[in-house]
Amino acid sequence: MYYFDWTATSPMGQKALEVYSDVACRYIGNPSSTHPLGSEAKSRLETERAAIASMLGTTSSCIYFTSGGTEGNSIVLSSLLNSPAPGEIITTGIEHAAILEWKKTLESHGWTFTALRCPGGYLDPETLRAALNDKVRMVAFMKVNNVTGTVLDTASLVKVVRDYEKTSGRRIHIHCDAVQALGKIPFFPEKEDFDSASFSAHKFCGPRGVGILYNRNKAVLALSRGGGQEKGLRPGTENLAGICAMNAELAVTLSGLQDRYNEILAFRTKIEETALSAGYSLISPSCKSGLKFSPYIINICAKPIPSEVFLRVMADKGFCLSSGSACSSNSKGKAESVLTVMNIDPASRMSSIRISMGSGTTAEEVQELCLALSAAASELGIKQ
Amino acid sequence: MEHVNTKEMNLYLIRLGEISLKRLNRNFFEKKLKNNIKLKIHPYRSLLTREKGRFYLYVSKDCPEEIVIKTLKTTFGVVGFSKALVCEKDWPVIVENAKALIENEPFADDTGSFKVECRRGDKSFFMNSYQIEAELGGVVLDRYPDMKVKVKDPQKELRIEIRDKAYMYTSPVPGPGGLPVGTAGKGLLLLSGGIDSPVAGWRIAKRGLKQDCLYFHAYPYTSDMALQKVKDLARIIAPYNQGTNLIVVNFTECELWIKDHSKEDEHTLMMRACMMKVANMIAKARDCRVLVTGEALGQVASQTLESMCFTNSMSDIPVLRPLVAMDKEEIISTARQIGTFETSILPYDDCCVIFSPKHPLVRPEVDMEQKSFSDMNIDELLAKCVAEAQEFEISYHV
Repeated sequence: MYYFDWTATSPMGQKALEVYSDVACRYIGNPSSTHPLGSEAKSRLETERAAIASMLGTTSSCIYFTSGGTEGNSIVLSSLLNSPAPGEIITTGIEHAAILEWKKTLESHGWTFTALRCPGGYLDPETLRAALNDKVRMVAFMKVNNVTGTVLDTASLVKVVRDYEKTSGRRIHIHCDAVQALGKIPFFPEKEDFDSASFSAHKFCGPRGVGILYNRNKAVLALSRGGGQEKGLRPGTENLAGICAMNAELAVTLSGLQDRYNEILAFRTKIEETALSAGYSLISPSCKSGLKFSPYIINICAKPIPSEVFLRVMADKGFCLSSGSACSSNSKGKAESVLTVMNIDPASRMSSIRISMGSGTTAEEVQELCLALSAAASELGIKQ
Repeated sequence: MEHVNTKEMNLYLIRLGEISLKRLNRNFFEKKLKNNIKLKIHPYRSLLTREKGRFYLYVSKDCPEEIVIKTLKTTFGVVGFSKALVCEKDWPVIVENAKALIENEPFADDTGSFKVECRRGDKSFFMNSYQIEAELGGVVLDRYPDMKVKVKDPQKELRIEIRDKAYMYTSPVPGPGGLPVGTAGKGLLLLSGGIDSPVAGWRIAKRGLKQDCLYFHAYPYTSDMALQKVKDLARIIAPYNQGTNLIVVNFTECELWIKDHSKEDEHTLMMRACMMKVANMIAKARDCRVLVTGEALGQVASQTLESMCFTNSMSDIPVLRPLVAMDKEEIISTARQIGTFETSILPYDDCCVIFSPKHPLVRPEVDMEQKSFSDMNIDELLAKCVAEAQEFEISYHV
């Protein structure tokens, strides 16, 4: 099988596997235990915290280890429920379910949950400016959209919020879901002036079930109750082997980030050209558009064939692709709702196909994919 | 009955409804019913005898009770049944047996009213009927304190007859009724993955028609999960139908041909016409004398009277539509009752949207559509479908 679903998850890297088994065997103590094996584990954990802090351009005090992106987002959003009075959270309609699914809970506690429309997959800073008001306590947006690969202009968006703060005199927490950014494009949460950001290891060849929450806001409180680990923000015995494996893999990934980016950009350009000439249309922005996008994700449209049918045809040809994000492809309507907010027409939404690449994608695989896309287009009568 | 070693067997009384009204051909119906029951209980040993309009079913004790109950609940012709116990006329033994008997349906749900009714044929027994009824009533109330005694028109009864031995049984658990499957011959059910067609098959099986099932698969436009869903549906209705054969026709080429060789608003009609043609060929080859569909009048565009007239014109054999006059709600209620509903609503469509026109023809004219059909020149493809059809045997076992 040819794997083109790296946005959903990626295979664990060689480095991560080595470090995982090494640490799992060597550090058998619980970092919270006071005996020598516990202290040893604790000390390794803090070394790792410092290492990841430096990779993210921040300090150890802002790094919390979590189980992944969903938990990081949930810790931040659930903290709103601790506010003395409900207010408003502004986010985008193109967020992952780990953000959007908080709508019901927050609303049931009196919060206003505003999900802004993002035509083409981008949030216009002016739209955000117009939405800001005195009730807003938090603004949350993603860095890279997981369905289309669009990259939001976070610098301008953060500036809009900070400018508003100056006039209103009230602090607004800015959270960023950076799950699809880390390891793909340069991302430094502190430099971008985010108050919090969430990351997930398995998106960059780290193990599943490990993630990072960058947070500098003391008002953010734990979602779980437990033994006080991670300064009480994320109780539960630390997954030391997983954390070390994640960091080791991230170091490898970041060291070759730019070269890899260029290579993937060439692959994406080739896929885009093949798809357009075969009769597909683009849902993601074109390479030639001048818009910001992550080349790791390209979303094309196989009209008039429904995505579900197209995925079966491609699976039979040996390709793993996806329609929306893997988290929602089992539930009808979820992926579409993100595309709806992007103003994609209904017929295109129904035929949307996500092709995503990662560090293991090879030129040969891309070549095979291009041949298969062309063949499928003529077999199924795909036309723009 | 004498040669049966009843000690090694459990006894059930089966009540027959419509069959007992038959006169000269009653034997035919009864024989079929006996065979249908025995077949489902096999490989466990069973024996059926008939007395006073009832069946006495003896089943070897190693057969799990669940199998007998499921068998009787899924065999058309059974109007009701109750487990019976036969024991020595020894009071402590009688009490023990009564306790065992009320652990089963209909008592087991611990609700409603009941009475105990005794017939004391052996007048030498040391207790009279009234005493026996009162004592056993106490046994029931000890076990089910929330139940109420009601002598006139109770919901449940425990009956005891003191004859050569003590015979005990409860008021009957309802069976599915109807006529034994196979007594009305054989038909071919067009089974989709929807709610209606399994119900249609079930309803007509209730009138004694045995059916094979036919499914049109259009991979990759419909998923293999849709096929699996149809297999699951066939498996759910198979016990009622005394087992079935599921014939799967690969319909993809035909669908694509129809799409390219007919007008868009006629796609659905042409598809149904093709299905009728294929069903006819398959039915004839398998000695099925009728087709059965889940159509209900006016439910969708292809189920208007005009559309039905057209699809009928494509069939040389009668098309039975058991649901023709039923509301969707009534159909859903039966689907829930027979256990197909949850499977039917799984989200694997049995037809891809690209083959469904936005505005299908609602009132087609037969002559015109027949011409459209022959203009498509699809006969060769249809014959190929039939030749390449796959068959899956689905067991009658419950």
